[in-house]
Amino acid sequence: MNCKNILIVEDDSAVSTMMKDVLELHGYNVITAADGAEGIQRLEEIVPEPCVIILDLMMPHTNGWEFLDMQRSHAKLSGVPVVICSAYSESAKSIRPHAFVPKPVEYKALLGAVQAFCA
Amino acid sequence: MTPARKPKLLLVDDRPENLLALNTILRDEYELVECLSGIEALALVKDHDFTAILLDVQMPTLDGYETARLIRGEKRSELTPILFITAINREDAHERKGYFAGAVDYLFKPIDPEILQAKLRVFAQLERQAQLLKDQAVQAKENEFLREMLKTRDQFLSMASHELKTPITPLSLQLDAFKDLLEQGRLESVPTEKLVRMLVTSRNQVRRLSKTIDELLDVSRFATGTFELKKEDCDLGETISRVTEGFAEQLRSSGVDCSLQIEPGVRGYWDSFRIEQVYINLLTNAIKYGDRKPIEVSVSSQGSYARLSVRDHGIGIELEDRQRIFNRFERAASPKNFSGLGLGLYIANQIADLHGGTISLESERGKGSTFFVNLPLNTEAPSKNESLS
Repeated sequence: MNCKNILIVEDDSAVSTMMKDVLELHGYNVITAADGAEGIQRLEEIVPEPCVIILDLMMPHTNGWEFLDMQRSHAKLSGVPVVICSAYSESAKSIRPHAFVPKPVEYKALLGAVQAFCA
Repeated sequence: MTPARKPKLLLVDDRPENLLALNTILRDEYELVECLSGIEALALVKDHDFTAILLDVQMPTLDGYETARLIRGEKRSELTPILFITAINREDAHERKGYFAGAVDYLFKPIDPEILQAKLRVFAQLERQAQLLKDQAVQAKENEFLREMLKTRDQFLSMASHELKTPITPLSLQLDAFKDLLEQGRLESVPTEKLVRMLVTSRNQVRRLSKTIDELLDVSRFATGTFELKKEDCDLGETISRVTEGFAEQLRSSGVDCSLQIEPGVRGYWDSFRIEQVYINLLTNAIKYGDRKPIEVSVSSQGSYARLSVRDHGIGIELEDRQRIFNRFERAASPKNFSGLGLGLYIANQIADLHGGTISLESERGKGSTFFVNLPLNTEAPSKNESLS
């Protein structure tokens, strides 16, 4: 068991709950946030810092793009790799994430993306 | 396009013999309206659209120039071309022309029929061009309206597919995770409660999908007029109590208190399944937008109507949104902040309408909203085969 931290920023609670459950089955410790602002808050709290962030783009209040802006300009947290998880592949790729997982999310794609950063 | 018709002229002259002369020249090509004074002319320009007005200058009481000035003051005739008919000299007429806005011309007595016809043809041509421009403007407006409709529909389709696609992620993750656990023989090492929680999430996603599909089907039935009510004797209070009981778990988990005030024996001939649907939509909204504050539900009879009211103390609905939210694909809250298709109130309103009832709303920003459903209390069952309202 690797006990590494992962942050999921996703507004649909069914989607984030299931991703959390699935990743926990593989021994990860998962923290969830429902929008970008909460995501940054969690990111600052998590010790040690997560090995990867799974980020939805279309979210209420502060969306994924806004989260990325805040994270990338954050002195300590800008290095955490981000996997964009979205149904909109074009806009996702245009912001150059470390990896992209299209929605609906496939089990193998999710695990593959996470394992690439959290081996 | 407006169908082709004879151009309509107004002839104004105090002498009947002059009118007769003009009539003889013009009656084949034009529809003619004649009058003997400026006063009559003024009344006529309020009721007709004329291609042009032929106006005698020398008339008693109101002369031609004064009549023309007043005609210009009327909204309907402010731009109608005026052709003065005069015996006075050219220079004076030419000078006078400057006093009037828009197309003004003059003709000297004795009248040369060919010159008269030629001048009028120019006016008729002007009118046709103006009409053409007007038609094009109307067409452009219609096109704009249709483009807006298409845009709304496309946005809705995109929202609907998003709404149908989202539950697939948890469903597909759960199925593949269980398959993986089984194949690796690890299933038994996972705590049962975790497995059950994952199954419950999936179960809820199937419900969510099924609800979205039902809503889409309802919308299509409203649009094609094939939505049918199965009316039966129905006790509103019992229906509302039963549905509220079913919501106990959701209310508890949302931390919302819901109180019922039921007047017993409020019965009617309604489709109880659809009435439940209306109430579920209102209650779900009250939970969603009610800011976790208490919800009050009441059932009563008010004259010849049964009344169901659902009151929340949440964000409220702005005045300008209160009609709009009953339309298809609309909701007051930004779609960025709340999921769903925005069909609930539209469907509820249509169902109330098909019952001969109404839904109305009182709301104050920041203080909450109360939705009232009024259903006719006609307790007698209509003839047997009437299932469609």
